[in-house]
Amino acid sequence: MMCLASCVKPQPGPVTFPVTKERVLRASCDSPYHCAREIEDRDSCDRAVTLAEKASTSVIAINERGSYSPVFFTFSDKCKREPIRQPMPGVNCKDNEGPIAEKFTDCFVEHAKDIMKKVKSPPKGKTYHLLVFIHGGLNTEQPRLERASSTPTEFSAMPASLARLWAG
Amino acid sequence: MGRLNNSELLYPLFVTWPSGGIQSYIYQRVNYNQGDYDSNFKRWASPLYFLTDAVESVVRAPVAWAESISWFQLGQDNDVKTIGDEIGCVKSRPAYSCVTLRGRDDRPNSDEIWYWSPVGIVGRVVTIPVIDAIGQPAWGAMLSRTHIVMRKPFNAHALAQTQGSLDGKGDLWYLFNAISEVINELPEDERPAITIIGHSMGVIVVNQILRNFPDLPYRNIVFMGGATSIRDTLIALGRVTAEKPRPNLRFYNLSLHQVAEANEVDADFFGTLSKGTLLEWVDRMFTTPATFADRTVGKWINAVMAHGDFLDSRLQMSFKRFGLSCAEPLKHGEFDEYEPRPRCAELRTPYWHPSFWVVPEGP
Repeated sequence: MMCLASCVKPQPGPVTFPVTKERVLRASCDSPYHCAREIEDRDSCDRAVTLAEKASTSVIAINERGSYSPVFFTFSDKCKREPIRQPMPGVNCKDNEGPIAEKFTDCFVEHAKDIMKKVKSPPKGKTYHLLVFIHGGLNTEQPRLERASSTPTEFSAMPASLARLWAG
Repeated sequence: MGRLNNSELLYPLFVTWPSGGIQSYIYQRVNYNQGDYDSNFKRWASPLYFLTDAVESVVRAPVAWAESISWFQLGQDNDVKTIGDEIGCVKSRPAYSCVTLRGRDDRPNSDEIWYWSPVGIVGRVVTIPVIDAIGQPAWGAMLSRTHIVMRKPFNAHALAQTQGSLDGKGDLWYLFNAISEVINELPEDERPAITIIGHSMGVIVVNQILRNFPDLPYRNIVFMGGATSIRDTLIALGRVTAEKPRPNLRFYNLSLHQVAEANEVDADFFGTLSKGTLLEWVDRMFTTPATFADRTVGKWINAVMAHGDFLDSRLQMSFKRFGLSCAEPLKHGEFDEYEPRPRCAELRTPYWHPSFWVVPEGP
């Protein structure tokens, strides 16, 4: 019943994703078969920032009205780091005229173009392979952001036979 | 972004959409009215809807209990075993393959213990009629959200005031439009290939993407426990191959073992919910399939029965049924889990790894 007020008239807006040490730990699977069991305190802030930087150009959140919701990745007080924010009108994106939903869409279109600029410019001799994942129903906000932010994509250990399968 | 092979790097895009169950139910009852959004009528009438749902759950309780018992029987049916094993897993259907069980069934015993415990039995007496009453509107709202990501809801009030986004595209459409524009600018050999993976209701969104952007250079389309219908899947895949053959494109449809599908118990609720995965609930309770093709494509039994429907497809297809070992998904929600499972000596393969989509060849 907590959503009763926001369900009545949900407006576009940001969602916050605290990048905690536990979340960094869960996202620590560097290859398909390896996950860290513990992270040193001194490393956890750097790894949290790395996770957020990577996720900020990979996670796309859409709200109840089909509008983009910028994700703000926040860090613990101990890290003393500013949040990493996906583009939001009036914060880190041009605040165009018009209804609020259109401002968010305009901002998102620019964000999507920026992502695709990266995809268009891979390191020399390489091409990108887009991996699009869309989760299922019955997922509440924080777990679905956590899953989206934490899925590792390193394949250094992929055997050649699987690489061939992947490459078609 | 990780190394993939000598020339490819992976770039992940994870799309999240609002899919909470309870939230969807409330949203459906206070906000959404026959495709219109921000409905004033619905807002003021919502207490009546809540009241009606409560009354309905009481009045329909005997029917809900009876249906629940019949569904439970269906899950134990010999036909399910015959279709799932003897028809689905035979060599004469090369597109269909099953992980062999080798006598293993690693599903947790605690699920059955909870299910048959007094807590589970008494709990189900209460929850079955409640879910019977509120499940359908919640499913309806979640379903509408899978469409709203691509097409914003009609808002009569905003339209009357000539404000709001009248072109109506959802923001996910803009994302794929940006992908499409960039890809079309690149020479063919530099275009990034696309692997698109949907889990459960995410597959409904995937089908919409395929229908709206059929010309993108998809290489792998992966459905994991797809909650979309066989009919919608055939239409979407048909769109992708309508213009030209796609020799490099493969379609993978992954399903749980039929026994795990029919007998899933949600231990988080101490066995107080009816048995079966979300797909079982969708086929039995949340929808009224007009024909067999309107059932969910992600259930192995349905995928096996739909063999003839997929024969005409111009795509390379693979239908996989998982086994019952702890290294595989044993529940509907586990397809996208890859972390080591407690008390399991084997590691799980992540869902984006190609070896997850096919059955490994036997020793």
